[in-house]
Amino acid sequence: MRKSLLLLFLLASKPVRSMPFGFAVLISMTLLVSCGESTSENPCSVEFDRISMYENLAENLIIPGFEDLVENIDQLQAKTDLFFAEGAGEAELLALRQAFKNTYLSWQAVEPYNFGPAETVFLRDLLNNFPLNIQAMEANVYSGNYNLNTPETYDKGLPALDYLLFGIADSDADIMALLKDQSQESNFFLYFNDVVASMYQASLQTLDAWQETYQAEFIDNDGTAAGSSLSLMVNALNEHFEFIKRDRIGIPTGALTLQIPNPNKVEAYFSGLSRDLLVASINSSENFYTGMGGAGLENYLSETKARKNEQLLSAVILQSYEDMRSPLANLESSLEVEIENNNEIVLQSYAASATQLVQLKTDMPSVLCISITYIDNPSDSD
Amino acid sequence: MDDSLGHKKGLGFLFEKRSIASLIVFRIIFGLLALLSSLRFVQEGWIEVLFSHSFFFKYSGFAWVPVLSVDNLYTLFYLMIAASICITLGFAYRFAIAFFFLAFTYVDLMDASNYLNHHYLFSLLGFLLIFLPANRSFSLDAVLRPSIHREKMPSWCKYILLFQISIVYIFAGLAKINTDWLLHGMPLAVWLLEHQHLPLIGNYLAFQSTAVLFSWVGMLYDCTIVFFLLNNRTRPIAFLAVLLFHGMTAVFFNIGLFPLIMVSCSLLFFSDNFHLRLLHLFQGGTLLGASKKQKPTTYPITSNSAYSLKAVLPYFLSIYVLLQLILPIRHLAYTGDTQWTEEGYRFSWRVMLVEKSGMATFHAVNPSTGQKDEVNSARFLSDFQIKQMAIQPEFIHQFAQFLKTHYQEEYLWDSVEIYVDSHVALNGRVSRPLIDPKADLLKLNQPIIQQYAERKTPKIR
Repeated sequence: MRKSLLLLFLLASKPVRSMPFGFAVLISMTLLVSCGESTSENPCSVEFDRISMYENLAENLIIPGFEDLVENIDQLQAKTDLFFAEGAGEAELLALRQAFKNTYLSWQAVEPYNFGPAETVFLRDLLNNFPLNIQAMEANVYSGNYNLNTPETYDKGLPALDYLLFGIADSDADIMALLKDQSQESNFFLYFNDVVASMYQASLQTLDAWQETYQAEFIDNDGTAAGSSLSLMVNALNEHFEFIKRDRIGIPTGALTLQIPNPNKVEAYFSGLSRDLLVASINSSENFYTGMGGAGLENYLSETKARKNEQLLSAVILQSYEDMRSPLANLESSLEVEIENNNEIVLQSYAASATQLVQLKTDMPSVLCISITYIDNPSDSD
Repeated sequence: MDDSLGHKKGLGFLFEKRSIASLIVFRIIFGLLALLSSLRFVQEGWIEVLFSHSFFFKYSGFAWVPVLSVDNLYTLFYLMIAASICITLGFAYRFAIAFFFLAFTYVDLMDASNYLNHHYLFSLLGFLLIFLPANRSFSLDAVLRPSIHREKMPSWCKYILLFQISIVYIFAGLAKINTDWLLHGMPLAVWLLEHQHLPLIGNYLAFQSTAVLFSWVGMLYDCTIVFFLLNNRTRPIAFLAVLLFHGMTAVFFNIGLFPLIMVSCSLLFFSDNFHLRLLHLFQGGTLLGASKKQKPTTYPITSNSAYSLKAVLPYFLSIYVLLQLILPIRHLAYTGDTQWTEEGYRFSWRVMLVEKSGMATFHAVNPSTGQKDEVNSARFLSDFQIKQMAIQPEFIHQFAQFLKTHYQEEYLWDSVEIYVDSHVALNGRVSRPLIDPKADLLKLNQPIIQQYAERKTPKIR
């Protein structure tokens, strides 16, 4: 017994002179065997012109998108001035509301591009932290003491305007009276103007940065490493998509809250724009993915020829966007109404978004050989 | 040969006296690495990142290990820093190394999702060092108590460490003999791609042939380096290869102290003379000279204890050796591909072997009321834990057990079913379901791992 144990130790630890030779033979045999099989192409070195994808995104989607947003906020500011002018009435309110809707929709188009300048200025938080915390906002209004540039609070941006323009009172006449009442200390007039001004400033800052320096930086920053434009794009696409899935559908429908719906937590609750905004945000995610006719992630993905369930992954992703949208097309009113009456239809869209998230977050990065960097290793790995 | 002679030869081989220098050098390096590792942990703020959430994954058999508060962990790490310094200086050595081993291992046992191969190796080396006379020379202990001073040690002290290092390399090499690694250059193809900005070689890293070449070199290196290090003639070249290989892994991968640990350990393969010269250089020669003079006088062999040690040692060593040989191949006892199932993956020197990512979405169902909930895992887990859980069925199973209690206590559900929708992408493939989404995880002892059909065809795309 003892002897055999010792022998084992000997074998395990004592240098055996013939072993390198034995290994060499073993390895050459493995080599020979493997040379017989054909090696496939490296899935990570697909021929695709990434630079033209960056150029298309920057020139045809991102910069025009931010230009449009700035233009719309500019209009919003003009209509705000008209509305608060002496003698303005119902017509000016309607024009202001229309400008608000246009701005909200133009925001949806650029919301996915939350990297680079937009991330630096916390554009999404400043413009669209929803649902609005009404108490926090009113506290701001009454105290006159607020900072509209803090990303953490839910008291500003488009959700605040949504409330002020549509929800602050029951009738249009009351809304106008409240907003335009400049006599009292706590005035909504100032707050409204400050919110619009801060939105304008942040959007303009983002647009300027893209036009002045970031466009070139973005197009030059090739590669697959963390921080490369490709990895920024895929991360941003995923973060935005998770935002749609969780905040626009999951929480309001109750899918994430024990099936207890929260219709009051939809986006743009007071103006009833929620359904249109949801569809617009799905579209903008899809546009980011396809490149809208130019080179996009869709083309890159189809070059890899990766297949899922017997179909091209690039096409499966397109189909999932459609699966998310089609139930919503049957809805007639805003989400808060539909969640109360036809929640199962909205939940179909949610189910499609769950499938899509796996494809965007797990399949696409794997096939394109990118690691999802917004889940960082806290320490080392091996 | 005569049986009894062979027996004697075996014993002689283990107990043959040799210079203690290599062990001393190893102790000093180990102490410094322990110090570096502990300091890094504190300085990088990893204590908060890793240990300030509410749920922790456990190793089977170690579920009882409690998790200290962040404040107490800081205290523990300061003590570990002190212990590392003691180890380096050889002061209160036996106590310091035992404490360090226990504390270091404890920190790793707190959350299994933090498993790292090089932490496991460091624990094992720490464990072995408890039993080795590494403080008997060039140590404060030997200065304070000259009676313990020794110039020699039995050979097993060196061989057990050599064995430990050798199996790391060899099993790491054997694990690389698979089609993904050797034929597709995966996952190196993914990882090398991230380094195209490197000077000189950057441009070549995008090629298929580069990834395959690197994969083969890595496999051959791991499988054979030990033998080239053991051979006197090839050792200098082999050590150069060690420096080059681990230097490159340090550049390419975020693997912390692993390259340093392996390079340091490789020094053990050098001759005793080399280590003597190293110590001589280190101490400016004076202490070495002094201790050499002491040598003839303070060398009483307490034959009693040595004799009893000789009696039990082979058993002890053999058990350790056997365990280290069996653990890495235990995956053979499980069905399915280890890379996919992760069964038998840990403690097996499967180092940097797969690029894997996944998503696991849990649903809790109350069958008596029909209530259903999608679990927000981020409420209980860190992003890193979520990432690890998504690819490891064992963790999915543990989390399901936790969710059962959660729904019973927070929502007062009388019965709970937990389902998981899990998708994992391995080495550049599209994702596949990991666990049957229709299986109630609470009804299974181990989650069912779905057949990974794609593993049967070598083609990745």
